[in-house]
Amino acid sequence: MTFLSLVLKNLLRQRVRTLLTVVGITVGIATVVALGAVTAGMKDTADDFITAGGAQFIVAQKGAADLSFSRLDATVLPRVAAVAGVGAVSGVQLEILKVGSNPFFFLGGVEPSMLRSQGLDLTRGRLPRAGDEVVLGVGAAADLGAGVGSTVTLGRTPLTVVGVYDSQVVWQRGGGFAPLDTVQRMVDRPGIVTLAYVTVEQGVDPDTVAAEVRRRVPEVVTISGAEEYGQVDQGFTLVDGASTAISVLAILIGGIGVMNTMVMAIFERTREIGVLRAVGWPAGRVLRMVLSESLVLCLAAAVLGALVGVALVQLVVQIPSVSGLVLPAYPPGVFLRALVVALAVGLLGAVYPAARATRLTPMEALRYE
Amino acid sequence: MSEPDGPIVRLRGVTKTFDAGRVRALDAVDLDVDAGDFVAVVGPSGCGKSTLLNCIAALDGVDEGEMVVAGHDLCGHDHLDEFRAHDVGLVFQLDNLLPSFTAAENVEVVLLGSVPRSARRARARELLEFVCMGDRTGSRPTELSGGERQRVAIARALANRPRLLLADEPTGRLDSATGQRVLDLLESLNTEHGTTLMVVTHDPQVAARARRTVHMLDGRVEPEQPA
Repeated sequence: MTFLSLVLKNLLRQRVRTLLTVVGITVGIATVVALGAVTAGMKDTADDFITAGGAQFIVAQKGAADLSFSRLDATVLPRVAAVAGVGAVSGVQLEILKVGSNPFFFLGGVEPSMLRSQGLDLTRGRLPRAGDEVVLGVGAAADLGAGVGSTVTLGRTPLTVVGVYDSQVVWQRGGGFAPLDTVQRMVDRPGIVTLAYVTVEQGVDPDTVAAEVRRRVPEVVTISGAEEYGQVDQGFTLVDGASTAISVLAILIGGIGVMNTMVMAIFERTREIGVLRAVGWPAGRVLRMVLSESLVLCLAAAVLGALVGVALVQLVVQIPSVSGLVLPAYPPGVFLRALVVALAVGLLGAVYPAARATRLTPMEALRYE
Repeated sequence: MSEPDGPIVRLRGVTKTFDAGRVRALDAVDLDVDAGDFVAVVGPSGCGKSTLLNCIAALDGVDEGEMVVAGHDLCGHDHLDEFRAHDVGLVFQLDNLLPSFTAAENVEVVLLGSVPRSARRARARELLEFVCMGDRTGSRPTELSGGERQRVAIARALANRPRLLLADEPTGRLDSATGQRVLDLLESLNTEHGTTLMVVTHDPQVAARARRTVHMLDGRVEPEQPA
């Protein structure tokens, strides 16, 4: 017999109760992992989006509720370009369209001369030069059954597919690019861009330049990384907030569940705890036993929850409308958060029963009926 | 903490009350027990026998008095866990075995955290053989008879090699023949191993085995008659 085998034996005495508790916490942990993976994926997508044009940061309309609602008058761009240290400014008109089975088809309107800097890996054909030409991501081409020379209707505008590219960026793979003026005409917003990519001159600190852009052009915000993305994307902030809120809820609900299980277990075993104290177990060892039982329960749920969470996310991203929108990511932080939640649940759930178990004198525990 | 050259149990004016002082379970008890003695504590129900044993075992505190057992000042809260872990063994009327553990594990659990695993196993096997339960080490309490369970409980009480063994009605729930075997075992611990034995009992046959009998009445120890 070891201390661990004693802990496991105690947990397995009420198998159904233990199993149900583990299942309850597993659901909470799976939710934390799934939301964490989606949030991390969104952050990666945001990072990819910001650096897609080879830029150091982007500028968008200050106060926009969502990046897709950002509207920048093209006259703003020369003012940004005039800021010291700015190398190039490239306006992009970004539209989200329902095309084929994809409700989130990202169509980027970019100056043809800037398309090469988008990091697209052209697999067939060429990039658009002018007029009603479009280059499609491999995902979008497959979805639409389109190839070089095909005509696809985006919105209500027929465009000729002149090339197909591959990309590591999920929204680029499921979308496409057309000349800026074509997209502006399609959405009837001439002279308006959604955002602009800003490249700074070599040897200049991008943060300093971004700060200067904000000072000189106060109607724009600058976004250098995913952590700043919330300034123009409430959805992003919402998912991040929901992830935190669900983690807190998981701790509270899971904690109450574990406390219920542990309280019942400790009440049922009060006499046994009295026997252990009577044969010389110090209160600290009893405390360690109760805490260990609770933590083992929650760690088992953490492992199961992580597996279930990953499986769920992988299942959800098989849905075409989701797969074009977000690619989940599993940085260690996602699992670390799940582990912290599980440990917090374990400790929270064990506090009261452990305190009760150690507060009783051996005789009080032995007399317990 | 050192063992003084005096009695292994020394009580002076020990008083224990329950129910906010309304019930006086022990009333200024004075008692000395020499090391190696075999003492039976007898008296009518409710006279305070079990309370006396529980206080000597440091399972319960006292309200007043001095209590030094195996060199530990129990009233001064002198490491009571350590005292229970190393100096005293307990046999309850109900065996109080842990139901989900085997006979061997019930003995081992006493030593968990203080003795290495292999030594714990060896000690449990040795003790279960000593109480003639060597062939039942893997049995759970539900698979054992009342006498067998009590023998496992005695093995558990001996796991820490106590100098003082306290038994509360150890044969109270056993049939006569099984009770005699348990008593033989306890007596052999006293005569062959020098373990000091205090047994609380109602049974005159058990008391007759002891070298000394302490009579209690209404929470007091009655003056002992010269032999």
